[in-house]
Amino acid sequence: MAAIRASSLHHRYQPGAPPVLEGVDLELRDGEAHAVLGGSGAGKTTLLHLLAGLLRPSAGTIEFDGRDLTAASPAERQVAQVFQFPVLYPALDVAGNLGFPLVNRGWNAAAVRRRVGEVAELLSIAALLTRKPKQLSLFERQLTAIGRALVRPDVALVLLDEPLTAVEPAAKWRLRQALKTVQGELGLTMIYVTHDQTEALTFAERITLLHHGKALQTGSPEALYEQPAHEAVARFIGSPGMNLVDGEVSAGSIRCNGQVLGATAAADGRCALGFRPEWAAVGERGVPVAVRSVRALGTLGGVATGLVTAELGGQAIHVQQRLDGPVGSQARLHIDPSRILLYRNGWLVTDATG
Amino acid sequence: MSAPNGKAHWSLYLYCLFLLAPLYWLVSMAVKSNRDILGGLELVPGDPTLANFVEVATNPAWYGAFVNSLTYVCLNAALSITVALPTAYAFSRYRFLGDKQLFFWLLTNRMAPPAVFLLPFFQLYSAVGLFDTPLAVALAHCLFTVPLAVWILEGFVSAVPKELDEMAAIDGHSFPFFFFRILIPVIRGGIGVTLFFCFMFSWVELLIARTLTASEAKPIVVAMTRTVSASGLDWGVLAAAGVLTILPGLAVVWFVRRHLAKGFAMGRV
Repeated sequence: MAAIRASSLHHRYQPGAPPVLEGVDLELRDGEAHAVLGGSGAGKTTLLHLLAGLLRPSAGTIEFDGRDLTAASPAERQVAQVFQFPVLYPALDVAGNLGFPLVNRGWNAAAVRRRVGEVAELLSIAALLTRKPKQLSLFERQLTAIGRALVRPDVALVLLDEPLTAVEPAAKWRLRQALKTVQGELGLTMIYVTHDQTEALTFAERITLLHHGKALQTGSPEALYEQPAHEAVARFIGSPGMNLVDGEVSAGSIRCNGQVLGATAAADGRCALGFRPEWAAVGERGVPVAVRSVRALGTLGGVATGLVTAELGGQAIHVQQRLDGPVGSQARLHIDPSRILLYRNGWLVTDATG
Repeated sequence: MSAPNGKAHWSLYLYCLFLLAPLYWLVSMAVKSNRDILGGLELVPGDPTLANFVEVATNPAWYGAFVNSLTYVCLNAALSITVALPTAYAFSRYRFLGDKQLFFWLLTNRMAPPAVFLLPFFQLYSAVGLFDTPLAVALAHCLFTVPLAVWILEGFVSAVPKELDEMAAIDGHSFPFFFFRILIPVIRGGIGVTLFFCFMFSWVELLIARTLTASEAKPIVVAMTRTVSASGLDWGVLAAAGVLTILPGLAVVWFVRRHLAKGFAMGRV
């Protein structure tokens, strides 16, 4: 296992082509489960290829335990990768596939068998060892592919490229649990790339959000949810994402559409106001809004919950709240004043304590 | 799938009978003497003999022709696969300037009838001393089989996920190891299908084979068209040679029969 540090990685596929990565910094602690989250085209797979050594960055450095391996081949880096859909050597059975990386490194047959047995036990695929990939379900194949990645005890970093995409929803949870267990037991440094925030938020200790080739924020799942550093993070995380409405700060108060929503220490000027759908409530108090629709979300934790879509000063917002009674078309919106986040030029204003 | 109804069954049998009739006639001629063949209509050979086959097997003019044919067919298949495998890999995996045009251009080679190339081949091979050798025919056939092989193999290579390449690289394998030990076993069905098509083209092709050979490297298809002797046409021996000429094709089809369907399904064949 190793701690990995990537500093100001730049990459473009051809000279003159638009950059795919622009100055990405990434730090993985030894034994950390780290997720890289981003939409399609954010540069996630490119970042993985750079870490694996399949691509050479246009600029920037990659260090494994302090050793600069920017120009090193994949073999020198001792990394392992799990792909979106299971990649196995079709001619070999499960045991052969699991043992292949070891045989290739000159292990003797007994040691290979022992190690393959351990890994198979860990992933509970010991019963499948003599089967060919063709005879396995997609789920079992992906488990085998994960086993392949874990089989080398000296692996420095395990790269997971949306490993659950191909697996049916019911098996996703089991596979994620298996991954998490293994990661914890072996203390593996893992980087998990996905566009699915649920996967990232439940798997990782820390998340890096990648957006158009830039790492906007790295932090715990809570930090990304509660204090998104950038508007793009605020929108990406959460379902629906954070509400962002135009507003302004004047003389220490946060205003939107002429109404005072709260107080702040931030400097005067225009800014975007951000709040999560569940940090606000539509009801008797607050500023007037026009309610557009109310959609029941079902009963969450014994409480009938709904999603209210309303207009605040001509801008659509979503509020998630308990549905006690009917919501009229003209209502009032109250936002927890201590939780309103201010964004200027896209970035969070950090001295905005109310 | 329900069982085919009786009518469809019978029409199928009739169709097979129709297809097999000339083949049956050939086989029955091969086991008759010239006198019986010319004697009159005989559905089942009355006095079967293997003399015709013995003649083909012992006369150097006949078995030599078989050896010549097999030599250039195998040479051609080996050359085509050797050239086409890396080419197909490159077309499948790399994007480069004009790749699509080049790929299509490969096919346009096959749009010209082989007769167009007779004169340049004849003149060129005469000049470099390749005329009347199996290698000359094998090389000339490559003009047609290599594009075909690239076209078929590209489909098979593209069906292999790119991640397999990446996984091999991450596992620390060199490119040659990946290519020979991982990729080729994965697409061996496709290679079989390709070999089949190269073989079929080269084995039945007459025009180029005839033009580029004289006596030394005379192939079997040519030998069969030049059997008129002073004593007239040797019907029985000719039919026996014909039967033997069909056998290698049958054998090859037998070996790749399971992979052929896959090739057809890919639309590359």
